[in-house]
Amino acid sequence: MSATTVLAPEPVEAGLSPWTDAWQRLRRNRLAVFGAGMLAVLAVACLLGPLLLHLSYEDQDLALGATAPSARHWLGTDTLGRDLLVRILYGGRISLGVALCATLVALGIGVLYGAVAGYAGGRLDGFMMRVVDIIYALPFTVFVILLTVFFGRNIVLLFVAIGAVEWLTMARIVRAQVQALRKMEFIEAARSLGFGSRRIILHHMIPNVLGPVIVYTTLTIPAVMLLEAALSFLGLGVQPPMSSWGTLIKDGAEKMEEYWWLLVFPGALFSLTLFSLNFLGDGLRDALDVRSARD
Amino acid sequence: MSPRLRLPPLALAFLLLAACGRHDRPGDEEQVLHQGVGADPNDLDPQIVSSNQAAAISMALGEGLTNYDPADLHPVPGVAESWDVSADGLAYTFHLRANARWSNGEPVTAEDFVFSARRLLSPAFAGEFAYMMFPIRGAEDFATGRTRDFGQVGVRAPDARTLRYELHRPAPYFLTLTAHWCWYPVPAATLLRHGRIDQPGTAWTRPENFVGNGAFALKSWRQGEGVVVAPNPWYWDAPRVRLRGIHFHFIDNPDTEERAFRNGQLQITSSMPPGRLGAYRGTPGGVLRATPAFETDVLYLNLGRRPLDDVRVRRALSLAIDRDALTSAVLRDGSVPAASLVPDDPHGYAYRGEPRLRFDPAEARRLLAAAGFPAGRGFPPLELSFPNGGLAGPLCEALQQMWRRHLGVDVGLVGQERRVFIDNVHAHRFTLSLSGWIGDYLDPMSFLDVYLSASGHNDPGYRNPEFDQLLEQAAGTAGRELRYERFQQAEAMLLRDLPSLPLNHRPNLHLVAPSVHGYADNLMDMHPYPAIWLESK
Amino acid sequence: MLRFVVRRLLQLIPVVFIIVTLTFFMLRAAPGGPFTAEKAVSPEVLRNLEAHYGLDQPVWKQYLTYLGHLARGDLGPSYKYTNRTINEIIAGKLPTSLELGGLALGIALLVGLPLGVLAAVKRNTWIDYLCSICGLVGICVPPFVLGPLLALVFGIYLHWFDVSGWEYAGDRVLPSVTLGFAYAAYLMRLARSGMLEVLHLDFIRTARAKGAGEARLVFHHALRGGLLPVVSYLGPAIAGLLTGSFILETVFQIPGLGREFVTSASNRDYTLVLGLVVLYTVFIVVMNLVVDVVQVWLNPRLRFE
Repeated sequence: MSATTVLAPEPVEAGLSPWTDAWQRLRRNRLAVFGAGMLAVLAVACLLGPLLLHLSYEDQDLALGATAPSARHWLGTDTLGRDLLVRILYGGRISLGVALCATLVALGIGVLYGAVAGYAGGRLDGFMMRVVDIIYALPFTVFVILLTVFFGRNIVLLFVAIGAVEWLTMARIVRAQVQALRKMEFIEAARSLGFGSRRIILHHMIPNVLGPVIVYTTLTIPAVMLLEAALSFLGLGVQPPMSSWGTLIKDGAEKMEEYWWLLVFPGALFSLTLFSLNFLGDGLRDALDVRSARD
Repeated sequence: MSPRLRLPPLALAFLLLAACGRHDRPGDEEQVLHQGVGADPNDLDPQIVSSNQAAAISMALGEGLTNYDPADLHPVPGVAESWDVSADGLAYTFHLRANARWSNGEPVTAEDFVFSARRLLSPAFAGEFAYMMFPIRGAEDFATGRTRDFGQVGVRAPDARTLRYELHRPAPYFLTLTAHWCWYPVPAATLLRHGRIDQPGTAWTRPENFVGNGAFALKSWRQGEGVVVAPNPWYWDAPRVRLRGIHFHFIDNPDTEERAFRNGQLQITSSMPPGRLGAYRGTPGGVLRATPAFETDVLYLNLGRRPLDDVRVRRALSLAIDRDALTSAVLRDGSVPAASLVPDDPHGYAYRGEPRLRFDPAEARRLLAAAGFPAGRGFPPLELSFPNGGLAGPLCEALQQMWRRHLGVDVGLVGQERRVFIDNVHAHRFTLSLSGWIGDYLDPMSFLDVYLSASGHNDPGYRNPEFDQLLEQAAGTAGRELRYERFQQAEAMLLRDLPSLPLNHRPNLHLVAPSVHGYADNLMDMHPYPAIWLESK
Repeated sequence: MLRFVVRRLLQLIPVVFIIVTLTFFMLRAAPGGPFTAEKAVSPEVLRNLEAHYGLDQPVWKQYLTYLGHLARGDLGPSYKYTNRTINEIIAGKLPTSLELGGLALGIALLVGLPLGVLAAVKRNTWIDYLCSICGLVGICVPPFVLGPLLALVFGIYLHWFDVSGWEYAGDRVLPSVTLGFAYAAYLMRLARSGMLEVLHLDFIRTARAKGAGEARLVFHHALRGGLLPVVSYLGPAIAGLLTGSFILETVFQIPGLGREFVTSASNRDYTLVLGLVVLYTVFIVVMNLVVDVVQVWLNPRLRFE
């Protein structure tokens, strides 16, 4: 018996950074991967598809009118004889773009605002939340009308308008989570170690509220897409002949009984996006949840 | 209890409620009519009511000196049983019925009509329809405050049953004016109990106070829901009225209204969602009523903006519009293409002259080239603004495509919120705008006086002294034939100059259940209720 | 706690004041007015109308007059509905909105919460997937699609319900189901996420190790923390629900306040917009107060501050 064979050293487990760990777990989640893949496919289709199809979203064929899916028009045509597939793809650009921007705004402003308010507590919290209440209660219709009047027609305004309202509930949710976290031991430990507020908020609070934040984000995105349709009615957002998924679905809903494809196809892509987002969101949530006992 | 088990009881509750879901409301059997009248009316005061749909309620609750014959809209006796017109057409004397009464039993007298005229014309009352009385001598002066003395106004009540109007110029359509609801009498005694004569919006129109002289009396008025009326026993023609009650429902969304009709909750709707027209086209029994209305959709052109100041450009734009395709493919709501500005009245004025609006892209291109923009080269980009909602968007999209295809001209589309849009148009902040015009009374004047230089409705900014003169002359002509002849000339001038481009005439769209009888279609969409009855199976 | 509640309610005054001021001047800045119509009224008529409603006064004076009336609880006359006051309009339509909102909320809570908790507890099983899919469907089918669909199927084709109106008990079913379904989906997703956060914490593991049953774990230990995101979402959501839903009321012809929120702005009915804004503000502040109180109750470590 040799000393070397009895006491073979055990391989040292390579330490992984939390992000690498999360990434690996995400990759293993099949649904999340599917969701991410689907989103990528949709984004590429919307960006490149119209170029490949050589059809215009605005060329009308009044004599043709609305027709069911056929060999020439795979998803059918709308009442003005325009190809529906192309219009959905173009519309996807707008809707996905709006969704992305609104999400960034909501995340950027809402999470930070809510975290600061929740952590600070006291009068600062009270003041910050009253500001949220005030913005919440202002009549949105009038606000949008004023935007169009004073700043004209600009796609950026659309993001401003949507961003202005979407961060509010996010801030509130984050605040509630942070308030609960504030009393937990690991925060007290961090404080006793001398970490400053900024570091605690950014490095300890926010990563721990990501769960509800991600879920709420996946819930806001469909609302934002539909809100965009309401805004175009007020003169903001897309103008005809351009369309977005929101306006396509709204039009389709009115013609549900006669021309089912006008609702079903935009609705299907809308739903597909949602499902993918949710799978991806759930996967992200699981991957980033450091306390999830999987070992 | 596990959450999974909670679902069946919910479903059970759903089904139980479903059992009491449908209700048999009084309908055909009981001669009760259910009619949709669009959005909540702003008031039931006949001199304040502003929407044509809500006016149906006013027509049930009140009556004017004359009524409209449902078939051809010629004036028939109402509160007045007969009338005399002076030879020069400037004096109208009405003889009121002895048995005309208010819903509280009091007699309707000529004084009531004088009181009502004074009310509508009072500046403080700020009546939107005061201008309907302007043919009366002195009325406009009193309404604009130039005179404070109502005695100057040409309306007199020599005795309780005689009413005399003096006009400052002939108005052959006067007898249709007196049938309009703003001309209905209002009960002086009731009114004065709740406010001054010229105070708008007082409590006298509340159900507990309301008094009217129509075939029906007001029973209830619930905001957001509807108005219920019951037969007025004091109405002079009460024996002829067969309906035992009318429920007016405030449904402002046409899709919701159509579903309610299909579900048997309504017998008459106020409109129709255009998309559903195809489904009703085939049905027999006259359920779908899509008949021409006294309305024209127009494109206003801002004549102060280059290059719209050049009449060749305006004609080119007009000739490049395929109005048939617009109505048959885009609107598909029963609209008819417009060949002129004033809609045809089969029993009155119809434009028969030249020029007429037509689709001629080759000629349009020629004109555009002559104006200095061959094949659209060098043509400045223009903007077409429209109010969001309904078919305005698709209509403008189709126009955009037509101009691009036939003229090579680029027009951008700007959809605006409705009041922002209206505000912009009235302030001349537009280049091209999509608008419409409904004639308030059955005479070409109601369409043509918009284009007078002094008119407050002249949004294109059309200033043509020749046209002004021609129209004034026509308006002062008493004889019908000569009058219409002069109107033809005036309209021809407008169709040559094209300050606005007429597009199409909207229809009156209604769904009428087969059990409804006596609901005749006409240009002004007037349906007097004494003629209507329901057939029960 | 009483001091906390009173202090928050007192904050209502400056908040309402700021909102009323902002809204008042925003409305005046918007183009078009209450009397803007396609057929423009003559300048004389317009002048007289404005004089009748006091709109010919300088704006700051109108503002102060309005504040004075507001302090007395008088919200003014409506510009659109000439013989009604704002107080009457709101008093007439608020009960309907409360009823519709309450029913929808009830459905949302009864359906959404249990499903969300269940999905979290049975995570990654077929139950979880089924609940999640139901939730996602609820978000994918917006009320303006679901409402007409239900009206067609259950009203016109099956003849179970009327498709519009609010007269009979059965009229409540379709609208509240439509609205409740949409909110149930949100609640389900948030509840699931919140519960997942909590279910894997150490104290749950400890309790399980000590032999606590699953049900007790869920209801007694985890629910309080897990429902946190739900509660903070519900605050403004309830305020919105109770003041009505525009789409629902349009599709089903319900005489509630939801439609007025939108149409009053389109009509530039200044007093109605302001009155509704004040009402909404009161609801929001009160609901947020309730939410904060509930949060402290759920998490005893928090204190009223």
